[in-house]
Amino acid sequence: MTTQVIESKLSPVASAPAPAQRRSPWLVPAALAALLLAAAPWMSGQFVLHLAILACINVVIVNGLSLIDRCGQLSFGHSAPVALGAYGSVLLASGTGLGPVVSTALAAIGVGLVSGLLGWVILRLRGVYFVLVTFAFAELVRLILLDAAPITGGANGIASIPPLQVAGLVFDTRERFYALALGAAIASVLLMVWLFRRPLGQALNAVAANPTLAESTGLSVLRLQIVGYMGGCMLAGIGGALTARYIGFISPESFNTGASVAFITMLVIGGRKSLYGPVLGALVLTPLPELFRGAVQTQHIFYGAALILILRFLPGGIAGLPRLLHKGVAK
Amino acid sequence: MTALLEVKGLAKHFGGLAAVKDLSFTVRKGQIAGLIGPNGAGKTTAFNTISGALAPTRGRVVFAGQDITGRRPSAIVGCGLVRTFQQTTTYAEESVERNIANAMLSRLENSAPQRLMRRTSHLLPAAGVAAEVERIIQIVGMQHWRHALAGTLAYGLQKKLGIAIALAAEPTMLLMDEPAAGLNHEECNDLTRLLRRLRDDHGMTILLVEHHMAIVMEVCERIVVLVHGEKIAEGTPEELRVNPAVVEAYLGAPDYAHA
Repeated sequence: MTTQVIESKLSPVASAPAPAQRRSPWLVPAALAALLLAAAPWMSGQFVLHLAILACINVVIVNGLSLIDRCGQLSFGHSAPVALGAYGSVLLASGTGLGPVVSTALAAIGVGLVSGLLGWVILRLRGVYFVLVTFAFAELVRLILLDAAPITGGANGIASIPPLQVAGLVFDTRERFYALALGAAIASVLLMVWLFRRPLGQALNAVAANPTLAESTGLSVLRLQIVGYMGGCMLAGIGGALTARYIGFISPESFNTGASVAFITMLVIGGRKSLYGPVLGALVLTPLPELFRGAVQTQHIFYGAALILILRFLPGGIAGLPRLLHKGVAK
Repeated sequence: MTALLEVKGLAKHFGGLAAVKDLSFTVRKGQIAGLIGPNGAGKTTAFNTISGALAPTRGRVVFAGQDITGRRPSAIVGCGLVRTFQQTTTYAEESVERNIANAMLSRLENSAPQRLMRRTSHLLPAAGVAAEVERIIQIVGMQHWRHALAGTLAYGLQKKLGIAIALAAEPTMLLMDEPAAGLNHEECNDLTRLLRRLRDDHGMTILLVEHHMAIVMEVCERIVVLVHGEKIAEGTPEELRVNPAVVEAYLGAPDYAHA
């Protein structure tokens, strides 16, 4: 007992009070800025709207990737569920005459089932083995889409996909579609925030932080990772369906390895540890190719360099920047 | 007193190497039992096979009347058999309280994790988590460190936290992998008292796999001695102290054996 008392006096952490759950003073300004940023595209012309819509769709997809990553597994084939969602919803709608909303919902459920089955097999793998198998699966999906020309149109893809229509409201202009994409992006962020405040989210965090310990306290690592993987792939599928409806054209090349790499880059540069990382990553990286239009060749060099620099100096991504600056100031 | 854990004819082979051969023993409810043996005797393999981390080559493990052979570790935890680790194994970036609360996730009443794990025993309402965390902090005596990050704790305290985490999963029996390894003299005494309290006040059954002979001889009522994967003796500490096979395994053959 005496040793404990002495140790508690020696150790600064031992007597430190609980870190209070207080709101950051930046919360209100940040919310206002986000609101302005979200409203700005409506007043900034078609090109900005176009980028804003793509960024919002990417937020949904990268949130899906983040959910998988937060279970402790990195998918290098995130374009596969995006492709399955896109083709699934379009083919369901054209093949059965179902409305676009119903067909998108069914496609998302389908992507969930496929990824659940796949996850049950491949989530037993760890680390680089899992990464490789997801890469192989994404290539498999792309090649099947390419080969099944009678259904998917092969390399020509599917063109003139009718715009999304919900109860008489047609999302055929950029202004309208942006509202939809923004809603989807916000919903996906809220879903993530809500999930990681619940026991299920905490269990996923525990599995990622220490799978051996999680398993030995009664949490089945495999089952929880399957749940996270299914959820992440379903978000990607919804993102894919939105992409198809917005662009009006899909082909297997829209979902190649480059797309998977782009999603990972967004996640890592935005910040893997933060719920806002995917948002920041999508917002920063979606418009970036436009700045490099004149230099298509150097664009990838820039991405590679940015990825290496971020991993080296900012492992928490852009979302980890405030904390890092705060630490620097405190010093 | 009934048998809580029964190990029957357990064998584990790695390729051509038989790490554990035909191991049988029982641990009765309320007992503190020990599994000892020199380095490489197969203790850890036996431990990992019982706790589900490894699937046995042959044999059965029965816990509380249920055959748990070859089940996943998380499913075995759901039956009430919970292990601790030889190395410090914690959620290093989380507080002591959070570490303990995390271990209760699989038994949170009406929560998604509990339904996923299909755990039905020892359910805990969400409102009871704080009180349960507090109860466990009191049992292991970590009141001063409740907000400290697990990774910043001293080695001995991290091992203690490992025991607290195991207790949070609501075991009826604890499987402890070398709980005394790396602890100093004072911490060993502390551990001995904790083990006795867990048994006497909290009705815990305990199986230790241990190197530290003094602790085993002091707290264990029944000891199984493993050498080269085989059980060479079983009995009370007093019986084993005078058992020639055990003495030979630990101290080498006495001179008269060669004569």
